Amino acid sequence: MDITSLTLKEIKEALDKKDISSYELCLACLKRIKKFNKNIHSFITVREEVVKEAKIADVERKKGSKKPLLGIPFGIKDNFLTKGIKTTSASHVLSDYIPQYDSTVVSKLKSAGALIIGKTNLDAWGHGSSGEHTDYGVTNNPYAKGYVTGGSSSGSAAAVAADFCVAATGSDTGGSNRQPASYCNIVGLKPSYGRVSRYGVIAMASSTDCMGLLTKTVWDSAYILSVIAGYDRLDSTSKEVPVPDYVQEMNKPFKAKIGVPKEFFDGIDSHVSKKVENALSILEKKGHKLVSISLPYVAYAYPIYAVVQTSEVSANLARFDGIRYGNGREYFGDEAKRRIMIGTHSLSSGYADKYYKQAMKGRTLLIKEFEKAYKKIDLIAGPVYPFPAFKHGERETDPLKMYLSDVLTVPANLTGHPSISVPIEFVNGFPTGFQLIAPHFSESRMFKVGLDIEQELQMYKVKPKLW
Amino acid sequence: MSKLTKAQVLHVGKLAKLSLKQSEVEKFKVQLTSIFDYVDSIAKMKTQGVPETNQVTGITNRFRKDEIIRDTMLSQKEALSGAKKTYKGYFVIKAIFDK
Repeated sequence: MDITSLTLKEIKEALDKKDISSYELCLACLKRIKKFNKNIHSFITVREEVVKEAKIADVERKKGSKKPLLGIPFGIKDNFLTKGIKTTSASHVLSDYIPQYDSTVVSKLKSAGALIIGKTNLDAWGHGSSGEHTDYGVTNNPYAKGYVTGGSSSGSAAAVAADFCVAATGSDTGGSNRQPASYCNIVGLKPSYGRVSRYGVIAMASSTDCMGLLTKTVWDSAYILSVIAGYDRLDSTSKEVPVPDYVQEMNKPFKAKIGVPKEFFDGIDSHVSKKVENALSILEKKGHKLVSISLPYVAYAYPIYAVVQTSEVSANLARFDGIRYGNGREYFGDEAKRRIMIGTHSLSSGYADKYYKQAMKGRTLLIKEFEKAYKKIDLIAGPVYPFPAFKHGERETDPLKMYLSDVLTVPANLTGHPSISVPIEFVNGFPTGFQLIAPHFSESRMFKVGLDIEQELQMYKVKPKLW
Repeated sequence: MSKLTKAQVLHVGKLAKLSLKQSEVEKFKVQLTSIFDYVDSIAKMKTQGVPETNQVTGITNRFRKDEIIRDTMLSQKEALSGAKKTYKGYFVIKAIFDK
């Protein structure tokens, strides 16, 4: 048995029974990274020193430490600040940036005993849905050479799918955790806005940025969320809502009323929608009730998002001037320049009413529509991407075509609702995800229903053949 | 149709402090035009009297005591550690005024 292929739950059990040690686990992961990462490009920085830290964790465990993630190797998306470890956001602007402090998510993981095995690749600054907009080598889909992983948490998703690490962090501004999870046959979590602190993560669009996870299973996601969630005085938009034990919550019986919006199936690849319908019928068989609903404002979600997100990007990236850290603005890649310009134009005198303010009002209408739907249903379900994974370079030349990858994931970012992508059956050999969206701070509902799909299909047992 | 002109692209580039090459101006003009063409559909939403949303979980002004939080404070040395140019403990910036 290859220990790298185990889920977090299985690893925790094996560690408790002393069947394996953290040292063995980290060594095995490093060995895999050395062998395959040159083709996958999932890491920007790999930390060999993790094996020394694993030895210390093993000693701690012998002494009886019960830290929830003791000695577990994590991939950290390279836009999460890590004290003393280079953090590039996959852009040459930050090619030599060494943070002086940890992001809250990273410090919570460290306090729980987790180890950092490396910093993962991404679409620079989080800008992308394919993993191609990086200055550090395009990430390859572990299941399909030459195909995209999805983005922007491309490296985190590929690293977890390739068994380079047990789990990884990701930031989801418009679908960046759910999308690559969907294309890489893993679980991608975007918690509620304000559930997990944004402090110390390089800001993209502050009103939609959500810090989440890429994991092998739903259990793993629920377990780690209990560790990283919670109010943080360093993020004034984090909320004082008690953090439940999500694993315990997940195991309580629950039959959901699941709303299936017809707008989520408009123009979707027929093979993708077939697999999503199969997943829906699994849920029906397990006793959940499906309800057809309509959310007409979903048609406007992407254009609203395009304005809101780029406006916030243009403000957030204004701080990169090469004076206090990093390099000058001439180091920005095309995609960052494009988004800065779209946002600057949307906010500029003479256009702000037409674009920014109109988008912010449209956002209100979209939220109202979702809140109204949640009065009759418990969850919303649909696909993640409108089409299966595409080849490198296929959509890159036409930015609008690339942006439209996000149509089904951005609604939850605009409304702030939690959302998850759970693996379902492959479409012609390509991994596919099933999306669930829940009311604010109702993550447990998605975990419960997601778990029903996972237990039936057991997609986490399907492993990629690396090269 | 929201056709962006070359002058508008240059104006936006200037506002955002991006120095654009001639070839980039042409490329972004075409790409931004196509994106704003698509974005223009938001004009169809009936938003009269609708408030704007910028915070989705109901948090409004959040205050804290005006006191120094020492555990998140950087020392001068740490604060300067990422700078390419420093002078006697200060950041060096480009001159703002002409001679």
